[in-house]
Amino acid sequence: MIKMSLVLLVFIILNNVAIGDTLTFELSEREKSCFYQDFSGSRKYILQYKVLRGGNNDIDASLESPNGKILYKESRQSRDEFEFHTSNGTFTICFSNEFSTFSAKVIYFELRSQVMETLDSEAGVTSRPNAPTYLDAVLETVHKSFTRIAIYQKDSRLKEGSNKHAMDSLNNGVQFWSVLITFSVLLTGLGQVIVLKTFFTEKRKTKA
Amino acid sequence: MVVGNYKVEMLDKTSNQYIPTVAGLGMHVDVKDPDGAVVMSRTYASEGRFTFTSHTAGEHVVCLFSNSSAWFGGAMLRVHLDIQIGEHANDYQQIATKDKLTELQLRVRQLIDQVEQITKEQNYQRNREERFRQTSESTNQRVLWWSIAQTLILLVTGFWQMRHLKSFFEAKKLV
Repeated sequence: MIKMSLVLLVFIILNNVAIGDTLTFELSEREKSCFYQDFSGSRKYILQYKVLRGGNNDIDASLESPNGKILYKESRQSRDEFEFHTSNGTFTICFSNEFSTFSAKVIYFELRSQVMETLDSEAGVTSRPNAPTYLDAVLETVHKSFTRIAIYQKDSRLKEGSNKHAMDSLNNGVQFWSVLITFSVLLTGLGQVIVLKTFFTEKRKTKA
Repeated sequence: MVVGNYKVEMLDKTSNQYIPTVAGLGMHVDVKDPDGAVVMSRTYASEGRFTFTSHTAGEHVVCLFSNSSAWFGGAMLRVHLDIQIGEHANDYQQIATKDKLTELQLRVRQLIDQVEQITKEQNYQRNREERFRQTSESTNQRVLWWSIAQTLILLVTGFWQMRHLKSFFEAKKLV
């Protein structure tokens, strides 16, 4: 579960998948959003974020530990991945779009453990009576591969989303500007003739 | 099917703790599908659970905003949100006892679930690729036809201008 602290919230999708907690949200221009995650114990975690669309696809991001230490702080990045050690307490992840005057950004970020979840931990099995056999090891390897596939698929889906948005914008842009240019050409053509005619209506000129 | 649980807490300035909000603070939940149509639009209390079923593949938008205009003098709110997607329960112990699975069978069941998810995602991508291709084709068509149309319009405008001006000057006895 991810906690947020804002009055108005707009998100797109929050997913609690086997690979970690993820959130895609929209950050308005000139605004800042902070998210909080409680941890207990010390483990290696990865924070990954990516700006999916909006403006120049850049954002300021920072990660703060429970005792106020800034673990990560970057400006105007479009994507990044950062490894850190968790400790007891609430970590703060902040995204700032304050530098942008007009563009809202859609940002995806995820928090996942660096160590992949095993089949046992997924099933909630805490201890096994027998020592792991060769078959157990093979099953774990398969599980790891599938988890990796899921991660690649997720990256692919994000990229596809950005591409689709770019393509839709291009399509709409072509339509809009074509209509505008056609209209401008017609207007200019008519305007030229009208203005030229006014040069010759008031006074008589010997040469055209 | 998507299930969302949320809880809104308010910062109590005196104790500097987040406490559950008093009654009267409602949250309005709005869900839109990829085409922009509203799937769900309801108001819930400060703690609630909302569900909706998605029918189209793509990006759905979930909006949460407060419905009370009387804001508690700029108090800070903390919102807890948890969204589960899909009908399958991830409680494998429950599944194991219900279906009476051995250890090995449970592991295989877990792997099968993973493969099903991967397959779903692949299907989704295939669907998206098709739509992407349609948009791409449409852009290509538009560029082609508008270029031809604009060239023709430019030529026609040019000819019309010349003809119109020629007859204008001839009428004015300047030519």
